[in-house]
Amino acid sequence: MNSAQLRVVLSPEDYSRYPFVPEALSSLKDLELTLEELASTPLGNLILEKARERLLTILEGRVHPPPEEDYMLEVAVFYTTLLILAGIGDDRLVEKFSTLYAKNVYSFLLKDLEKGYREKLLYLAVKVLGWDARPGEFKVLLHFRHFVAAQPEYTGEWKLINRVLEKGYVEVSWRELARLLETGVKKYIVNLVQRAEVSGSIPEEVYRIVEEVSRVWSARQQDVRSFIRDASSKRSEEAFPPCIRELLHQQLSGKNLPHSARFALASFLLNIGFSVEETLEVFKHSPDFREDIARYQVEHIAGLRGSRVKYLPYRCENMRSYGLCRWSCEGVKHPLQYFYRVLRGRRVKTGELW
Amino acid sequence: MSHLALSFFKSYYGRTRVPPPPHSEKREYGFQLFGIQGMLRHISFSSENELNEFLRSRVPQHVYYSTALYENPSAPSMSEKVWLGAELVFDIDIDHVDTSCKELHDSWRCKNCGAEGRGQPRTCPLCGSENLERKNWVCDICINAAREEALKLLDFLENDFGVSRDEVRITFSGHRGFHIHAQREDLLGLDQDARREISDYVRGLGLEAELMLSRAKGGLYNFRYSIESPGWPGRIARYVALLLSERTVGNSLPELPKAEWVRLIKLAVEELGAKIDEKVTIDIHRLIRLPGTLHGKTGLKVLGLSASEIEALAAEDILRKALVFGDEEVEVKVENPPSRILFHTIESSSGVIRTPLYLALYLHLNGGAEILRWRSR
Repeated sequence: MNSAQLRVVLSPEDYSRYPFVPEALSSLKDLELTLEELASTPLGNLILEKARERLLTILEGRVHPPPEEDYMLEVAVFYTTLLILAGIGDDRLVEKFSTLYAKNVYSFLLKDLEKGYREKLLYLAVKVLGWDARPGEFKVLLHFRHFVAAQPEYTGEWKLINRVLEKGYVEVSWRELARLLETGVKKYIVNLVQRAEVSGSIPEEVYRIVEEVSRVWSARQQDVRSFIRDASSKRSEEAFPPCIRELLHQQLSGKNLPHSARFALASFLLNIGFSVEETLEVFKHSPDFREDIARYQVEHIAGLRGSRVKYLPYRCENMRSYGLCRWSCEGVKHPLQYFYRVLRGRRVKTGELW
Repeated sequence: MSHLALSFFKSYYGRTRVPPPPHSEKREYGFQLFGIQGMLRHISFSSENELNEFLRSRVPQHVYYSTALYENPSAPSMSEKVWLGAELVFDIDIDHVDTSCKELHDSWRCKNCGAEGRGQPRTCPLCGSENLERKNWVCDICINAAREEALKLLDFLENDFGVSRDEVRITFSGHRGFHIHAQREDLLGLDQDARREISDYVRGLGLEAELMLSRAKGGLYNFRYSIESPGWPGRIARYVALLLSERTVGNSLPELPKAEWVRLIKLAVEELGAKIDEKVTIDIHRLIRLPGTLHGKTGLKVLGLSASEIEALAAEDILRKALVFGDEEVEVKVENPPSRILFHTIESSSGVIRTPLYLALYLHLNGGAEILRWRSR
């Protein structure tokens, strides 16, 4: 499949599911809609209102609403949403939006794959994200630099060392390519927001929405922060080893943590006496939080389900190989050991390894 | 004490032109000067002349440059520097490899209980403290072991990562190992997580043996790959085939109990993984020694090598190529010197010994030995 063939694989109908592709933006330019008109025409108002609703849904909820069927409308709403996000300028919110958005994209990609439209995946990978991907009948050869930038996990089958890597290329299945594209698209959207520039002044109507979403978002942040303060002050967050403190910090700032990181944090909190509910409260900050799944997993780690074994956090050595620890804590081999030492009033000398 | 060393370094930089690294004007340079604590940082040079002029006039003891490229390399903070990318670098340091020669030249003293001894224990064998004061030296046995690790790494880079031998720049650090730079523009933008994955790959970290096995009859297991397979699976298959050469028929590996396979795979990974210092690979703001300059603890040259050179040269050849000072005999007063150093054996314990100048300088720079009689020619 050469690049000439790749050029034609997306139809305008696809733009409503993949509005971030450059061609979709060009189609928006055909509308010749200016920022002022967003605020002052009926179509502009509709777009603005939909972008506002979408952002408020994301703040409260756990999923991104489905796209508009009219692709022109969807593309306009999508870019307007990015513009508002750029105006708010909060990295955590951008992270949350792009994570949820990319999850939808993943489900569309899987549907396209079921219908046999492999070339659409390849188009997004090669033409939009600029990946070096070479299709085969059953597998795709993806250059390792793109694989390592998009792998969803750093353990098990996703870990680079557990893949066949030859002359710079990793073999991935088409389904795996779809999952890698989810991360790729997420990063791509974050980048679009970071690069978004508004020429001239923002109209009052648009600014009002920036203000409103900011307000709701920071109120939500406040709730969770104060909860954590209460919860951890009982046991003093200072008694947490640096690795767990870092994970907690990242979790609370809305970063999408890999599974191993979530396991380490949840098992630590449960072991120092957080209840399932308290632990869940911490994870409500995940961009892709789903209470039913998270509850099942946390209860599992707490030993209330499945094997009925209460799991311990990883040992320091394993934390390090999962890439979750970059410290050395003198005489400590396990994160819980650090916690109990500090609780007993002993000081643990820590240093950063890199 | 460092006055003599300073004058030798001065003469070296006076007669040598140090070639700048690629994209030199986008790099930050760091220097340690003789007799001055701390590092002079956030320096950049716009030309080869400027760099060499600095070396000639300031005569630094240690010279480093950033593996990263910056928009404004001399800006004082990272945010102002504006990171543009960093070379993918691997550091092979003999501290990460077990060698028998450490008993011959390395010593330690426990700051906690005062015990002391030879070798390179991780913790004090008496009280368990990690707080050890160490004195480490390098010899040809060390460099040979480090070279083996570098060759393993080159194999990973070429066959697994597709980084050809021409795209690799190797440096003997002038002390205890090698730095290997993958000079590929398309790898400059890798983030830390990506670099950690690459580092784990070459170290053999996180490999799950069970993913490579499939169930056979009678509760036994097959290795899913053959000796012709690429990457780690093929490496492991070839290692196991060699280990079990009596039990293999043709190229096929035997069916074995799972535990036996897991044991063999672990053995293979331990043997075949390249023992790099992962911190250097993961750090995207690292300063590293500049080839062509002198290592301030040894007086040896930080030596650039090609892939063919490191393959062809023995450890002693590499060390000899890194010598820049003469071999005229001088008298040095030493205290508990190492028994093996560079490619020399020192038999006496303490007192005055006669050694070639380059060795005397090493003993002086790294061990505080006093050079007693030296007359410039």
